[in-house]
Amino acid sequence: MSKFKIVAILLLLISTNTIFSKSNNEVSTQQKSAPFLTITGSKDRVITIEKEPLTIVSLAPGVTEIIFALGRGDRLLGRTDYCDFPEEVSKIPSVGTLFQPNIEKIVELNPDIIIASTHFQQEVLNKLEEASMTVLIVEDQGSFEGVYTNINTIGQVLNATSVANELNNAIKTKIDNVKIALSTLNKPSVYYVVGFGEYGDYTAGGDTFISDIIELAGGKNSAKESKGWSYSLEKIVESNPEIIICSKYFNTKEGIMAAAGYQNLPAIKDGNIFSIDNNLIDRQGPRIAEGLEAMAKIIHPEAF
Amino acid sequence: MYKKTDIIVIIVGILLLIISIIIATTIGYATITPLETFKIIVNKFSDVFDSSDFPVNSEINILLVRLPRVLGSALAGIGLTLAGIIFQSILKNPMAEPYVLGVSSGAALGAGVSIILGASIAQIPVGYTTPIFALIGAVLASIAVIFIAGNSLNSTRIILYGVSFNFFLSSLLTLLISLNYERSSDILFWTMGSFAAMNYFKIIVLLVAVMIGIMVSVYFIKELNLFTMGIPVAHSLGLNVKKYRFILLITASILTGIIVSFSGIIGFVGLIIPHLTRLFVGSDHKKVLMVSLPLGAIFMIFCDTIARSFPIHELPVGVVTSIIGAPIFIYLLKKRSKI
Repeated sequence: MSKFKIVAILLLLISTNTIFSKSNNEVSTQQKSAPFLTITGSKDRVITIEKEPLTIVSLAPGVTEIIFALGRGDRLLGRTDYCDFPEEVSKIPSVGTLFQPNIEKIVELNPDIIIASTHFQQEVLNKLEEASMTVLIVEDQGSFEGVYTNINTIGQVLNATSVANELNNAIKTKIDNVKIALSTLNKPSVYYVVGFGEYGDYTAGGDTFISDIIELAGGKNSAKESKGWSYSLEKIVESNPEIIICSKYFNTKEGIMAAAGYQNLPAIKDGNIFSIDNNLIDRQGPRIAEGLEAMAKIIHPEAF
Repeated sequence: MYKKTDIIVIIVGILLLIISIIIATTIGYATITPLETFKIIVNKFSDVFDSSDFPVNSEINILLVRLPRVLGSALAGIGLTLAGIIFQSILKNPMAEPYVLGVSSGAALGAGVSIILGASIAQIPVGYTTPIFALIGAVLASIAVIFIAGNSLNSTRIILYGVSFNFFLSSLLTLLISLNYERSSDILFWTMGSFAAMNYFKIIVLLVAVMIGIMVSVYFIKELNLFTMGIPVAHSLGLNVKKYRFILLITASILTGIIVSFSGIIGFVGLIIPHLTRLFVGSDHKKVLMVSLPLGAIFMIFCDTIARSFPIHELPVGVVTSIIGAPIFIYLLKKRSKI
């Protein structure tokens, strides 16, 4: 028995020793020239970018859209499975899902910078940093200001500041136009479907970005009083929304129209259920103004 | 006490394990040839080969991404198997596994709380908040169950305490998820288990924990064999049931807690590998330990290699362990029981 213990202790010592000695002679690849840019990303992480990034891996659909809108799509080496806009992204290899990208794939692509949104996991970030990758995380708090900031930040990083400014101005103009078109109209109540049926009823509560978009698009969010995403059918029936809006994907509309409880709602009986490309409003991307327009056209078709 | 054949078995086990580690390190998504892999690893210890033979990112991939995963999965495989052996012996129940006392749901609840709080606590280094919360959850849960069990000599009752507590904690987690819809996918991914976030610090912690676990179980090997006869028998043979049960259960629980907090919940290994071993070597714990620990490590390395090099997508490793392990186990069980 004692022999076994000695062997065990020896093994322990040897293995810890080799591991520690390993980490002592870590390769340092830092150059002493002035960095291209020092920038503060999400959670006050300050990152230093040594030279203008010519190769990028994007880890969020919104980020991918911004990169393309800035005319830097040709620098993308990798994207996530969820990045599906613009169409050209299909030619770029995917590095996995938003939550579990394949780290080995990313390291092999060896991009100058990785741009992610706050959706992605801390553990993935740690691992990428250990592999001495430069990772910029942009905020995903959900606001128009957030979109402008992200476009500006990514514009700076990709040396496309003026394009970023033009893009932001174009978005602002579109939003202003929608506001002007709707200024005198009444506000029907709108229920936005995030989830329904057997897995629970979810909507965009008063503190969400989608709620802001509904209000801006000339509607009144019928779930304004609630916070977050949880909701209930009973509350929908009680608030009796005039319009119901849902995703255009996954046959959501047909599903809702057939769902118990929902099918008897006056809005659905009157055919006031509409679908929207929710990618426009879920992502903090350059198409956010289009999302607002689409929402406004559903709520106030007469204004356009 | 250890015969020559035993030592041979131990050495063969260790050799097979080392071979598995080497083979697994050459397999992965990134295209790095076995020769390059070999050169990269050798170069880490002394600069034998010209470092321009391989790209820097291959070196990073092997040393910082792949090797930690392989070593981490090996240690987790050993640890979960060891914990499974201890739980099955003490509770004298073939269905006992490392998570039976609520370690998994306690860890998941702890991880869930930290994910929802988005906790970055100043004193904890970035990236270790979730593991630490998970570990606290795991240890508290198992201590609670051991405390509830108290002096009970009825092992079925202990399992029932554990199962109920497991349900209680999982419901709390479900409640937490339902109130925090937007973080639900993060929590779900955590619970599915992965070795993607392994690093050398975690490996050292795992190594120390596994070594302590092995030493404790080797030291108390006689008691483990006595427990297998049932707690009342062990009690009547003069064993201080409460004392040894406490030491062994707490060791196995903390070991499981550490593994779970680093890699999420990986099922099946701790349940099946000990049984698989017993099918071939009988129930003497000396033999079971010698054979099953390397086997558990190799099985886990095998599953994680499949999980991480699966084309298109990385798979959750817990899925692979069950999909591969369950049919093999059922087949062997069926074949052996014909005798």
